[in-house]
Amino acid sequence: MVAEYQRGDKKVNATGKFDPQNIAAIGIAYQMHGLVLVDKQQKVLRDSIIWCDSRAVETGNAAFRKIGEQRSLSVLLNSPGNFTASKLAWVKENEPRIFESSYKMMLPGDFAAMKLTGEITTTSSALSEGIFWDFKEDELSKDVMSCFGFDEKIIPEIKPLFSSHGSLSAKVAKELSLKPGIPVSYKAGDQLNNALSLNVFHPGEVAATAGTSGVIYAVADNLFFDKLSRVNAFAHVNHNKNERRIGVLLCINGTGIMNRWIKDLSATNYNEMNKQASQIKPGSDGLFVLPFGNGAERIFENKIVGAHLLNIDLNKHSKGSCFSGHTGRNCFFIPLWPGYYA
Amino acid sequence: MRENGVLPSVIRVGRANMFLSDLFAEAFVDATNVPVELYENDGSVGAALGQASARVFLLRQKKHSVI
Repeated sequence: MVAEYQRGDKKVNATGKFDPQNIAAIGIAYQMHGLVLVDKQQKVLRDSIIWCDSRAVETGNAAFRKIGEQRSLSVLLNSPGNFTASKLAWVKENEPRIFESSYKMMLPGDFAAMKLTGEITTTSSALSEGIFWDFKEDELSKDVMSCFGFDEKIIPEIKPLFSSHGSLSAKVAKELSLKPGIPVSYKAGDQLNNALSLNVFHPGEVAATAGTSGVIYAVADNLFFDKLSRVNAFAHVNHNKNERRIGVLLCINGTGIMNRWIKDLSATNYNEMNKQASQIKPGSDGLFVLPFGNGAERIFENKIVGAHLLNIDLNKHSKGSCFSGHTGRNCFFIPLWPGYYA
Repeated sequence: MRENGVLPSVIRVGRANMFLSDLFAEAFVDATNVPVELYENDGSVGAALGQASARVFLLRQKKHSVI
């Protein structure tokens, strides 16, 4: 992992726009909802279970029933779903030796900070995105810990999101040409972080991204939940008990990754895809592209529906129709937004 | 989201990934029926802003503890 940092560091330093020795602190944005397990020596015990890995869907569904649907929604703001707590429970059930050897569980950003500093911390925001957080009591959820039979010791020390999460070790500082001892002073999930970068902090403000997945992320000031957990609610970067700021997240797992899949399959590049798509009228000649196929879709209550190309007319549709369809000009998110037909 | 009362009047987006494509951005606006504000921005800006905000907070804390 430090090698990855080094590669990025080298590229940034090569711009010559700054002296790396002047860097005063480190901020981390990371892929949400993953699970990393380490032992006491901070050795990784198994591959990370990343956000879109759907193995824990049934574990989460069972916990939803056990905790009680109403309680789960009103206190956790979500079903445990396929999030980090359910993934940890999956390891406990299916890989008991690994679970027993686990000293700490972490979200990916916590792990990245550990590799830089040697210290293991987390935040209420990270725990909320893993569905470990009780929003009513503003503490680690006793419901979740008891339902899954987890010991609190496996949870890292909880610190404020904007605070010192450890100091850069001398060894890593040398490898990255940075000053030893500078703090990791911020770590947040990628969607929260994207919202921060766009100055989205207050109720009613909304950000979006279209990377591997497509996300619309809104800020609310109440303990928001969707009764079917089709959209999910987490503690935003500026959330606290006295001034609630809840990030409401809608995700379609297969957005950019399907674009990449179509690109690879058609042996073309993104510029060419755009060019060909622009020559097709909106509606993509009736071809429908459903950009799923990247794990369980939360908008469909964690069902794995797979990606689809629908209504193909072999005499009419071209590569351009597929490219146009996937840019959203006849993409499945359209039926979810009836306004499109207005 | 609309069913749950989230009714955005504008959506802010960084010009990154699929939003590098004007075609995608236009289709997104058509599909959501909400205007998009595009910024020259990506997640790395957020991480930098986040650490800077925290750094100010930490320096203030240090100053207080010295006093």
